[in-house]
Amino acid sequence: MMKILTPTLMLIPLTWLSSFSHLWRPTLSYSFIISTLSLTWIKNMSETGWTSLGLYMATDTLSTPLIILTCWLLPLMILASQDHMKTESQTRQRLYITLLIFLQLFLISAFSSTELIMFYIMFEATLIPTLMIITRWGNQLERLSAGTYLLFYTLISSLPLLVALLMIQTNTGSLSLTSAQFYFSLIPQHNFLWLACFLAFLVKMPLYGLHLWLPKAHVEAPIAGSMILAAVLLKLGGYGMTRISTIVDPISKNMTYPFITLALWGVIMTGLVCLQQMDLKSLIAYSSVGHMGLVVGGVLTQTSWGYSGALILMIAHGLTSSALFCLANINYERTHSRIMYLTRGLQIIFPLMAIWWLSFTLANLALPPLPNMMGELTIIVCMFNWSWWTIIFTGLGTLITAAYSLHMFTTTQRGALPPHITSLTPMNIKEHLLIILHLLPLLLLILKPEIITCWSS
Amino acid sequence: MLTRLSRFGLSLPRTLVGPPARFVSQSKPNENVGSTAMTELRPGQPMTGHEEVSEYTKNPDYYGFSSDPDVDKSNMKLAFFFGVSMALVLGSTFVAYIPDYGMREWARREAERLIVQREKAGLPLMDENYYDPSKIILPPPKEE
Amino acid sequence: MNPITLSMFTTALLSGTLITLSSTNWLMAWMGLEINTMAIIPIIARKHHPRATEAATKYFLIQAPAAATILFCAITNAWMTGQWEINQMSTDLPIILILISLAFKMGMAPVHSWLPDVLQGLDLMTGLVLSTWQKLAPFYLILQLHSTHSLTLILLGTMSILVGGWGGLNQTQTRKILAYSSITHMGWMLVILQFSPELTLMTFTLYVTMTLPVFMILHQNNTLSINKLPILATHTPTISALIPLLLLSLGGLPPLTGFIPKWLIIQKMSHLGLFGLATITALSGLFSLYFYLRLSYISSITMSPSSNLTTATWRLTPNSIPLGLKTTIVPSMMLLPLTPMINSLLL
Repeated sequence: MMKILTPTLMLIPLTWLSSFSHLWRPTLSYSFIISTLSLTWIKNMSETGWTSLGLYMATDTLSTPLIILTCWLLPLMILASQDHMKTESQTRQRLYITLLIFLQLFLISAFSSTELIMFYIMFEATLIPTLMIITRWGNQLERLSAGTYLLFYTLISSLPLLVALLMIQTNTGSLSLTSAQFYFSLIPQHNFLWLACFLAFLVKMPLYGLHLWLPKAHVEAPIAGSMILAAVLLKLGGYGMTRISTIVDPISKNMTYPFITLALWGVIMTGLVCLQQMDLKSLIAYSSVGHMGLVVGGVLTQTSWGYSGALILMIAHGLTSSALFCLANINYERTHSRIMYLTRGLQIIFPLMAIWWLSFTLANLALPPLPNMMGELTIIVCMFNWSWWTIIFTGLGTLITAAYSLHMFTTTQRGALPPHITSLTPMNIKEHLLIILHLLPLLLLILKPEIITCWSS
Repeated sequence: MLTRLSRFGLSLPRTLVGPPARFVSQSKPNENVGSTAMTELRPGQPMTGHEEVSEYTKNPDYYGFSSDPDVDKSNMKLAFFFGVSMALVLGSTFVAYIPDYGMREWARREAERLIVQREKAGLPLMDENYYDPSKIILPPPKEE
Repeated sequence: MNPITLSMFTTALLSGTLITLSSTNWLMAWMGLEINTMAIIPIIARKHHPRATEAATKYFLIQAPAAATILFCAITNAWMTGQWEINQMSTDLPIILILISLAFKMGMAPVHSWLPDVLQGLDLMTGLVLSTWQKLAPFYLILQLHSTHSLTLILLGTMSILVGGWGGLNQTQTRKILAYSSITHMGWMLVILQFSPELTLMTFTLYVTMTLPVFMILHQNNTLSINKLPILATHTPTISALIPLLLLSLGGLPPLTGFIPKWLIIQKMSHLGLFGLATITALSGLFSLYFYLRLSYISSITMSPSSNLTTATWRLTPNSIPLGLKTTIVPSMMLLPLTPMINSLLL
């Protein structure tokens, strides 16, 4: 554990001590090195599933892909926000990178902690850097209310979680994940306990109906904030739900009905919202809510197919939505507008970017060999097995997802240019690299999907 | 909003420009398609010196990393080396050749070995007791 | 004020509290409280300003009847039971009355409304004394009465948390906001008092640790209303970057110091099976988080080049940071990893 956490921590002095003209170079290189090193956690040779077991931290096949995704996102965020930060002063650029590093530190600790209370503290700790990134470096004045929404939605739902965790601790004397199978029969079976345990994660996911903070935060956040929010912070909810559902098991059987229904209903509703969306970033944010609805459904059925489908979809969606936000930001940096009707027909100007848009549109609507499709199909099959009525929602949801993804592609890329756009700065190598670094891992995962499917099978 | 956007209309004839920029065809629009492409150039406003200067004016080979051409180039090379050569190539090689992920091959080997062993001993292939229950000696139940 | 006079009053202020702290007899305790009150009033009225005089008058008018009630209850108790011992209280009427009048002295809801008004008339350093040291003597007396009347304690505690949060939402003056913040923290202390007095003491210590740098920062820049908060960014840029963390720590967000008391208090309640009370107190703490969040938005999130509502001041040379601030600002944010040590020291 420490071989990743210590270098991450040491990135902070690196950020503050390296000379300003070379600020972005060492941080970028070292964060790439850290993310390469984090791949070693994939090597899993234990029968219990837990590897690199320490006193309070360990990784298993559920947390490893998510930690690697976190480590991978830091260099990409640094790469993406360079242009956004160009006009800021020296100290603030350093502060910004420091916040991103802190976010990675907290996220790795959250994903790898084996004590639930430490997971809770780290889960909450990610709020402060996210809040600062959104409210300090966002673009509009609405960023302040977006920050307030983010903070209060999360806190109101997660304080009952704290009480519930301490209640479990009172009853069982332990909150360790590695020994959960020995004490979970001692946990009081109470509907309120179940609700308190799940609500925090359902808000974080977010479940449809509790999702209002997410589009706001996404729209107002700077590019790095949107990327990390879509790619990793939402997955914190899915991760927590998967972990806690193995602990508070038996009551889930009946309690899950309203939530699965709401999640599936949300897939369709957010799809319909996406179809009429004007704002590009908001569209991508609502599409995240829809995909996370499927993840919620998969986890709540509590079958091994559901869990592994949820994990695949989380990883695939993490890369896809982060790349879509990057593409939207590349548009935004040139046209200074998120409105889709003012930035349409860009294929004429940026033919290569149209290829990236097409790739990620297809990834978003789950084109067959991509991991997005593996995840969605696994979840749909598992839901169908749970109750065959769900095929109406999942089928319709998939259809609408395809419709709005293609709508997004055709609106932004195809057709004639609007009259006000006559010349734009070309895309540069850095932005192509940024998109390639999202696309290649997604494509490579097709070749070896077992590193993200293995959990509970 | 729209008044701000007018500065993107700042387009000079292609032969004159320093900064490369993507241009739109300014030919006559096809009436059948109803294209919205512009038919004439907007007159370029005089530069006041306060607009954003394109990086390509200063450095035609701009890679997007830094405004200093040397730093720009070396940063580009570093980013490609660490991002693609190291993280992606080296990383995916490691992941592709990782030995026995999740100990699945080991489990299969063990299972085959066990089947051979049980066939030789004439035992049923599957048994609900992994160990022979008669061989397990439990401590005597506590006397209350 | 003449330095000799000031030192005399300060000594009286200290000795008043110390007399209360070392007494086991209600009469001595009452005497200490009175000396304490009499010593702080000239210090409050030190600045010749109508608001300061008003604050001194208000403070006197509040403290005198509270102390009189305490004396009355002590005498009633002595009349009913025949002794003056503080921790030998046994009848309900004097206990409840004494608890309420001690809460009155500390400025807790529902008898809190004098505190923001009085604090508004003070300069920030006297305000710091008022919201920390002045609470110590009555706090000690309440600590000794912890096992007496649980319903009163819980009601006072939860009401203070709620009222402190609610009241602060509508304020634009930093001193009033700090007063409401003090009310909320006192509420947390009282809620847990009867279950674990050690935890109350720890909460008090951590509250002092966290509120000290806030008062010092605001005093250093003479920031009396939230309109003036953005000026911090030009005078003391480092502090301005740290102030959101400091305020969120006061609000009790997890990786910061302010989470320790909340965590341990909720844990204690859960161990005793009081899950409903734990949830209610935890959630009502969010009210005060809202105004801390708003303060941090104004102080350092919306600074130049984003538009803000303040005109910049002329003197733009950064102030130096006093040593006391440097030493207190670190523990006020980063004590959470040391929770086991704090636990073993104080519990």
